[in-house]
Parts: sequence; C-alpha cells; structure tokens
Amino acid sequence: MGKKVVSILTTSHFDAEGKRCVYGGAERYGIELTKMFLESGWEVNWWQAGLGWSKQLLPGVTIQGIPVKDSFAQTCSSLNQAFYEQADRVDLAIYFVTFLCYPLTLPKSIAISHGIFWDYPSWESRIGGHLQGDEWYHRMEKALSSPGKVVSVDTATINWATWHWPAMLPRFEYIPNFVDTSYFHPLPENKKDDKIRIVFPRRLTTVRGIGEAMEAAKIITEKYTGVEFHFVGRGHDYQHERQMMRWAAQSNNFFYYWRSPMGMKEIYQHMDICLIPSKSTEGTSLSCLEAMACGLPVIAGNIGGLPDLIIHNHNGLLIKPSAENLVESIKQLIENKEERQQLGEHARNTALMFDISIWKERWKSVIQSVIGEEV
Amino acid sequence: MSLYAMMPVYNEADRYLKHVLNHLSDFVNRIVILDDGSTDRTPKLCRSYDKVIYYRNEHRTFERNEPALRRQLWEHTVELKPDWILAIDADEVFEERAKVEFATLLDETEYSVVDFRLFDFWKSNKYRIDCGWNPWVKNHRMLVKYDPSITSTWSERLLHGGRFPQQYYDIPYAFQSDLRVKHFGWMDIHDRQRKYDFYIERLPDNKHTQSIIDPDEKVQLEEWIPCKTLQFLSK
Amino acid sequence: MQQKIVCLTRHLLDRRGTQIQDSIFLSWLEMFMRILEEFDLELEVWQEGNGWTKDLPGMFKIHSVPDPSRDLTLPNVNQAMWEHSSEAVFAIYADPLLVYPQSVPVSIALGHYIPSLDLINNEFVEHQRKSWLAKLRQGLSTVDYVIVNHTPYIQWALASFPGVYHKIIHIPDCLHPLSTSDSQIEKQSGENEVRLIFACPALPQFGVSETIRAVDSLIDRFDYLKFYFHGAIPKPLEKQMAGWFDKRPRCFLKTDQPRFQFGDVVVFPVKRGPVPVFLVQQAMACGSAVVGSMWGPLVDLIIHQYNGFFIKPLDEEIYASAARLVRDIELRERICNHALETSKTLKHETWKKRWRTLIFELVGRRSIHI
Repeated sequence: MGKKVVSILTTSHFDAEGKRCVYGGAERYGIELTKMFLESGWEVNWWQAGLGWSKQLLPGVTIQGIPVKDSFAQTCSSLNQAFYEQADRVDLAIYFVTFLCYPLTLPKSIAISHGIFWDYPSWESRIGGHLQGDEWYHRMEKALSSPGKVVSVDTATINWATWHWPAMLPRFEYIPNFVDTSYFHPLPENKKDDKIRIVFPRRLTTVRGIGEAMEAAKIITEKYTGVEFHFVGRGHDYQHERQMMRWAAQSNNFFYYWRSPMGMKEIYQHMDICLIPSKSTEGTSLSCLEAMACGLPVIAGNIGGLPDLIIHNHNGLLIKPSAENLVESIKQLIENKEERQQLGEHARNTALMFDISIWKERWKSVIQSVIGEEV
Repeated sequence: MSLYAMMPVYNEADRYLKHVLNHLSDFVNRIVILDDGSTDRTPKLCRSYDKVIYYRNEHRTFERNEPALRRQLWEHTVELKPDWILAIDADEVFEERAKVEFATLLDETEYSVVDFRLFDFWKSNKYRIDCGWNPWVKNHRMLVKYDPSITSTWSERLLHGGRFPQQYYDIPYAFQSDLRVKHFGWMDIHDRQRKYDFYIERLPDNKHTQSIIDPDEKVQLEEWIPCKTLQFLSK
Repeated sequence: MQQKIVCLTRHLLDRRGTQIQDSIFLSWLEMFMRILEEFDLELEVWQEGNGWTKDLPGMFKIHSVPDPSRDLTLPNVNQAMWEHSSEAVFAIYADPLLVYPQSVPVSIALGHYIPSLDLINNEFVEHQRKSWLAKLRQGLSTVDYVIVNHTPYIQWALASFPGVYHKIIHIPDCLHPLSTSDSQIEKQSGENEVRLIFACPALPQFGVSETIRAVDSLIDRFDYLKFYFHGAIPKPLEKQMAGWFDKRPRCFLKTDQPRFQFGDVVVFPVKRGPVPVFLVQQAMACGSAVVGSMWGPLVDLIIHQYNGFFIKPLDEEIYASAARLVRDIELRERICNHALETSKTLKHETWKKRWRTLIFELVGRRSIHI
C-alpha cells in the first residue's frame, strides 16, 4: 500500500515569486503540521498562489505556486478552484485558512481557523465597504459549512460562528495552539541584578496594543527606575522599526530589537513580566504560550483566544488593554514579587497542557474522524 | 557552534582593517583572510592576530574577476569545516552589541541563512539614505550555515555576484537580523573617488554609480541611532 | 428618601408571577442588591407578565407589563418602565435588546449571554433578522456602558459590531457569597466510587437530554459510577424522569441543593443560553472537575484539560470527557486541584470594588442630567 497523501492549500507561505518567506505564527503552524504528517508516514504537498513555480517547503515536501490572482471580498475563489482541479486523488485536503474552502471543497477535508481577524473597526472599509462585507459573510458561511471539520485555535471563533450559524457547531473542533515546553522553559534563578524586565514580544502594530504598551512604559519608568521595557518584534515596515529604535534610544530603560521565533527563548528566560495587550485579531497566541512556558506571568488583552490561555489572577492578568489598565497591572506585579512568581509558576503549569505533543494527538484524532481510519 | 569569518583584503593597512580584526576577534572563532596581492603592511597586520588564517594571491584578481576571488576564499574557508560562515569585508563592522548578541544567531535551528542591514557611512556618525543608498530596505546575506551536501555554483556576474555560492541565495527561509552593519567604505572622499572611477568604467550608465559623486546637497544623511547591548546575555 | 434604580428584565418570574423562571439572574440580583444598599439605593424590577405587581420580601418590587413582542425586545415594558423612571438614578437593562426603543438618561446594559438570531423565533425572515440586529446594535450603543461578565461577549461584540469596544466593561462574576460557606467543607470522595453530578434544571437549554443519554452509556461501562441529578424538574417531566431513575439503581434523583463536595465530576453541557455561572464556580471551588460548554463565562473559568474540560454539548462529547475523568484518577485529581486553585481568584471583594466604582460614576452622571 502506498503512502497516504495530504494536500494543503494556503494563500502565501512564500511570496508570489517564491523567493522569500515571512516566517510568522501561521507559517510555523504550517511547518509543525507538515512535520506531524511526515512523522506519521504521510506524503505532504502544499499549494498556494504564486507565479507558477514549484519548490521545496521541507525535504520531500513540494509547494506549488498556482498562477491565480484574486482576492475579491477577501476570499480567493479562483485559487480554490484551481486547487480543486489539480489536487486530485488525495486522502485528505487541508484548507489552511477557512475562506479557502469557498466555493469548492474536496471530499475529505479540514479547514483551519487561526482566530478572528475581522474584529477591528476599519475591517469593513478594508474589505471594500458594506456590500462586500455582506458578500464576505455569505462566502464565510459557505466556506465553514463545507469541510468535514473546522479546526479552530480558539473558542472565540467557535462562539462567533455558532452564534451566526448554530447548526455548524458539530463541525468545529477546538485545538488550541501549541508550545514546545521542553524547549521553552524557565531557567533556574539566574538574576545578576535586581532589575525587573518587561517584554512586549509582538509586532509593532496597533492591533497588538503597541501604543498603549509604549505609553505604559513611559509612565512606569518615571516611577520605577529599575524597570526595563523590551520591545521585541518587527514592524510592518522599516519606518516603524526606525521610529521605535529612536524612541528606545531616548531612555536607558527602553530596548528595541527582535529575535527569530526560537531565539525568543533566551529573551523570555531573562524577563520577569510579559505583555500581550492585543486589541483584536488574536488567536491562542504562540508568543503568549511561549512566554508562559518560560514561566512568565502574562498581562494579556481580554479578547480573541487569550482568555483560553489565561485566568485572571491565576496565571496572568486579563485586562482591557488601555494604557491605564496596563500601568495598574504592571504596578501590581512589580510590587508583589511573590504574586508575580506564583502567577509565573501557574503559567508554566498551564503551558504544559498546550505542549506540542498534545496538539499532535488532538490533530490526529480529528484527522481520524474525517478520513475514517487511524492516523 | 563554530563561526568563521571570511574576508578578502587588499592594501587595507591604513584603512579600517585593524579596527575590523579587533572587532571580529571578539566573537568569531577564526578569520580566514585572502589577501588579493596587497603591497602594504596588510600581511603583517593580519598575521599579528591569533585567529587569522592567512592566504595570499600574488596577483590581484578582484579587478578582473570578483567571483573568482570570492570563490577561492569560500573554498579555503570550507576546507576548515566551520558550522557557520560570516562573509565580511575589511571596511565593515557590526554595531557594538554584536559582541554579546551574535552568539544567539548561531543557536538557530530553523534558519540556515541570515541577512543584515548595511549602513553606508558618509561621515563619522552619519549614513546615507537617499535612493539606492537606503539601508533600511535592503537585505545583505552575510551569514550562512555551511552545508557540505550542497554542490556550489557561482554567479557569473563579474560585479556584485554575491559573497556566497548561488545555492545559499536560493534558500527562502532567511532570518533578517536586527544587528546592523556599519560600512565605512564610502566615508573617505578619496575612497569614493577611487571606487567611482572603478565602477564608472564598468557600469557607466548606472544611476547608483553616478550618485557616488553627488554634490553634498543631493546627499541625504541620517544620524546613527544607538542601540543598547543586552547586558544580561553577556556570559 | 431612598433613591431608586430600575431594572428591566424578561422573565425573572413566569408570566403569571407564580414561580421563579430565571434563577440565574435572580441570584445575580441578590448579590447586586447588597452593593446598592451601600449606596442607599433601592431596586425596582420590570418584566413581561400579565400586569401583576409583586414584592419579593427583603429584595425588591417587581412590576409586570404584557408584551406580545416575539423578537426578545419588550417595547411595552420598556416604555412603561421609562414612564415610571423620571426619578430613577439609572437603569439596568438585563440585555442590550431590552434597551429598545429608548433608554432612560443614565443606563447600563448587562451582557450575560448572547441569543443566537436563528433560535429566537421560528417565523423570522431575513428583514426581521436585520431589524433585530439593528435593535441589538442600538441597544449596545445607546447605553452608557455594557457590563459583561465574560470575555467571549467582548469578542462577539468586537467581531459583530466594531466600534462599541469603548462601551464595554468587563466585571467577571465572583463566587456567590451565599455559596462560599458551603465550599469550605472539605472534599469527600467516595472510596471506591466516582460521582457524577448534573446540577441544572431539566430543560433543553442546559443539555439535560444529552446528559441523560450519555449517563446511560457511562453507568453501563463503569460499575463504580454513581449519578446524581440535582436540578429542578418541570411538572410534565416529573413522571418520566422518576421512571428513568427508578430503573437505574446507581442514579439518584435529588431535590435538594447540589452538594458539590461529594461530587467528582460535574457536567454543564449548556446550549446557547445563560450559563449558571454561580453553580459552575461553586463546583470548582468544591474541587470538582467541571465538564462544560466552551462559551459564556465558562471560557473565563476553564482552561481546557488544565482545570476542567471544554465540550460541545453533544452526547458523545459528554460521554468521552466524563469517561476520561472517571477512568483516569490522576488526571481527575490534577484537574480538581487546579479547579480549586483557580476558583480562589473569584473574589467577592474585587467584584464589589469594581461595581462600586461604576455605580459611583453613574450616580455622578445622573446629576448632570438633572
């Protein structure tokens, strides 16, 4: 018997020319998913929109760039149809983003929702106004109703979708994101000084609460001179990065730099508090999980998948991410070392429940329910 | 993880070489140098550093065939089987914090190539940002994890063919490091004129070449933004 | 003279005013009244009903007004309350739909659950759904604040009606002060048995049928499992339920309050509807492993497989999660310990402090309108 084959359709793992990969959370998810299939003896191939190239995603895994270009109503229906025509005879199809299931879906299929991304005020204008918004809903409904299962990284998406379309509930499977807890772990007490270091480990974007975090940093460091703020993440463009670099240069307490995903470990290990003050577009954030796995108490926004990871005052703080609330919460943790450490300990314990091994098992059982045999 | 720097040199003794070698000695294991026929004190200076492994061509190759020179340097370097290779020139240094933070890049398991932003200094604390000089938008591949299984081929372009074999440019997962590189090669007005003369002969219609000798009012400069070192990482 | 606060709700008592219909909201009001007393404020409740007025001794007066509306708004009751609220300090609308058609000058709406628009009326058509959504949006944006007791509500509002974020205040519920004494009693597990509890009324919205079917298979499989049913049972179901329990010697039909410290696993397979948040909290505070739906306040209380289990309210999911917890003592103990630990965060003092701050502000706002 030959190997089982899975085809995964995504929008853009690589850029259209296939030259570069901006390696963010979704790309990491894709790589881990691919590795899981390879470990289980499957053959994996990927498809995306691209200028007609074919290349290696991982050893033995090809990715094809299908030369289509359209994103009407924030969906990609010609990409979907090209995939439907070309990716025949697979044992399983995975639609890496839910809207890629529109309009056609292969018989045995799973779609993935990485979290709600239509929850910021300018979404409607971004999508092209009210009418395209209605069209997007229509397509979203079709897309969510057609695959065998929809894997959601958080409960928020399931809540939202089943509020709109109650009958979809059985189709959803909640598989929160993962963290490798043997790689991301706390260091035994390693402090060389008595500074308190606070990390903002995200992209410098408004939805991640960068403005509020910077404002809080200013207020806190005026009062607590031994506190450092580390902004660790890239901007969407170089102007943001340059601006941030200048901003950080003003004060001895502010730092700006970035690391690769795996390189974040040693940063977390030297920090005391982590800020994930997202305002929208958030799932079960990998950064949040990694910080928790390294034993950091996280001060998180009360939206998206973050409530799936954090219980207020138990393993972190869950707040409406205004600058004032951030200041209050940071103060609380600066002044109560014991509480800070206790939250961090609970954070580590919580992260163990999101270990990548558990994530793989959950995925295997969903695949099994779709293809009808053991993975 | 071992890190070897590789560097071509030519009559660098009175330029930045000493500074560069002092700098590299702080965080690389070895510095493989290919001297392209220097006629000044360069050989002596190179040999005075413990970490330097020195090779020499008697006749200058760069002006005729840069890729051949780069290739020769690469082959000398990979003979030593390093884990990582840093391709750097004798007028380039990383910002100060690299001394402490460079090691982090070498622990990387997900990336095998690293790109950097390179800032062309025009004055002692200012770099050029207009048009093709904008350092923020370009990535320079300077660090690769050596993979003996790759069969190397080199670009045939005689100029700017790249510091590594072509295959290392085809790797799509590149990490763009936040460590900035200071490039001093344009800072001295005589260097600028010399390079201009060299390039105008080979690329006469190239706008970028012409912009080398732009009058001051056309040149946009930006002040270097200092970045603090993460002291907690110092071993 | 005591100043008053008015509260508009749907059916705290039933239409005829003879029995309690919304026990979840009633326990919330019970707790809330204690804070109003600190401000010397009196509560008056308005609801749908056939025109009676009742005094709940020691609590508040309830007025009822008939309202045939079938889209979960109550324009008649809303209007009647408005007419009688000229001297009210502020109004509380039990959900944003009740703000339609108009709100008193200073007002808040509560966000305790989100009705799904396909489930509220069997005869709804598209334009009615649209108009209903408009009323909902109006409600969210008209009041001064929407006070939500769970974060999924915030996310729902953000994703459905962008631009209302500034209106939303999150005040999670605390462990009900009247139930805490109960949870002080130490956990008492059976020697050689595992006890499964269902503590909600026997109504479809609480997943009673799914639970009964799952329990049927569970007791077949585990001969050391006992099942305790503690919820209220509607009259028409009494006989049928009693018959079911009679045939199953390890299943017990109880009429008293649930004793969570005698339970190991407690199931809350709540469908779209209010979550009995105090019961869930109490179960966790007594160190039970909660198996609950992944919405409403449960999302903020439970981290999947850390201190409880998230399920969809379906037979097979109740069965699978309960079976895992029954079988795996180590897992159950870990989850119970974490549940106990996390329930300590639900402090009554914190809840009171947040409400006090808010009420103080609302009282101040009222003075602007005078």
